[in-house]
Amino acid sequence: MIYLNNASTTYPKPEAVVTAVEQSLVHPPFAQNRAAYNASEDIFAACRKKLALLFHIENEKRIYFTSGATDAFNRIVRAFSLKRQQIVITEAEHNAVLRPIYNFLPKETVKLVKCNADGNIDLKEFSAKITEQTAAVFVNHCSNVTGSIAPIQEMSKIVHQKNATFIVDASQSAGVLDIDVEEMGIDILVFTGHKGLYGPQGTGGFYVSPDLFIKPSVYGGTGVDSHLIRLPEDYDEQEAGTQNTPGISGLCAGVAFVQQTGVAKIREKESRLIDRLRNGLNKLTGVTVFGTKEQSGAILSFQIDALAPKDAAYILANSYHIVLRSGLSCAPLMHQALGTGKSGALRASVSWFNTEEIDALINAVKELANAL
Amino acid sequence: MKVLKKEESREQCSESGWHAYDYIFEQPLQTEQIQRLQQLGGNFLYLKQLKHPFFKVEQKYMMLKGIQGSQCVRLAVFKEQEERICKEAETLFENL
Repeated sequence: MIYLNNASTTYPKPEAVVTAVEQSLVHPPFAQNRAAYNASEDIFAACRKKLALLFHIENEKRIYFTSGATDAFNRIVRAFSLKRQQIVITEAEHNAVLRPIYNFLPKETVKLVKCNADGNIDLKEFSAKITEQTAAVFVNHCSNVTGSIAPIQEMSKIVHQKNATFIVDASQSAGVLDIDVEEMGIDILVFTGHKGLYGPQGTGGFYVSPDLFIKPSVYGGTGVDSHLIRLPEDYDEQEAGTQNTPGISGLCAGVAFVQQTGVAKIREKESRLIDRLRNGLNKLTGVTVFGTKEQSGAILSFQIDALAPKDAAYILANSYHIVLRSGLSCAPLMHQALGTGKSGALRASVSWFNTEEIDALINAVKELANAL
Repeated sequence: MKVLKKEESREQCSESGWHAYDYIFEQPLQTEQIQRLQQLGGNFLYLKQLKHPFFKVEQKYMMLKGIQGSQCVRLAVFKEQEERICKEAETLFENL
């Protein structure tokens, strides 16, 4: 099988990740404030430190673990929903952002920034949508459809000119692109663990700048201040309940893998593979490639014009053993912008572990397009 | 032809809005059997020119697709029509 669905979840995982998960289940668990011993390393602190290094975060204690980006966004959006202020989003956002926003917030408080036919955001329109009434701006760092990379630093300046909070979705960029929260002016960074960070599914989290307070939306036992049933309004505890030790152990090993390999080296390899795929597909008749070469992540969407994407994906999987994603990829607004709102597209996405096997996809698409 | 197994499709997302099932037959499907699937009615697509021919029967509330030579087909249906369509399709499968 040739696995090119890494934007959904990376596969395979580094061996160290598999070992870390296994070891966390074999050894006595880290007590998480719930026992008078500590037989194991505080894997949560270790993982926070590694993530802080990766994202250039000064205070690692401002990183909170969740079950993934969706969980993190739900918590963040709920915190803003209490104030009922204006929120700005872009058409590049994933349903992990869109659904919490459109279900927790009144529709009239949401302002939408359009993307052009290549899936890129127009900074002029972006700037125009942000006003003194804007409380927060959500931006997808790297589109999960076109791979387009948003100009985060420039956007941050625009957002901060209006004193709004800048929230960045790094689901497709963490471990794939360089992220420096200080330099990029990111107030809240949301990441998932199971994509470019090579951790297990069910891991992820968010970073909140020390100047901000996100009111918790999940309460429960933490092993700390147990005598308090009702917590003070400003109580900053985002990790209630027993936390996911096997998952965070795996994530910690995944982040270590990314650091040892180097984000620049990963980026260089993945870009090379995506460029090779883009060039190969662009030469084919009857194939449409979406997005632009400039500023693109490890993702490429395309379609075989004479074949519905879901049928093409079915044929590729069952006849050629090539696994892609098809359909809307949980980003319906981006597909509307691309003109593929009804059926979506085929999406290929690579990881560090892919090779020139990408040529097999080009050849299979060529064979299909030529036969139709 | 005998159906060995019917299972919920693992790729629900690619058949967005539909309920999809994968049927596993006791033998690989060949041209003659694929042609008979047209009895389900609707549009019939048969891409014989592909290295591994692909077929699809599609109507308003149902879509059936597969690859010639494979033992597996995918049937996607709208929930409201599921019982009737699955029954019709399964009767035809038994008689392929």
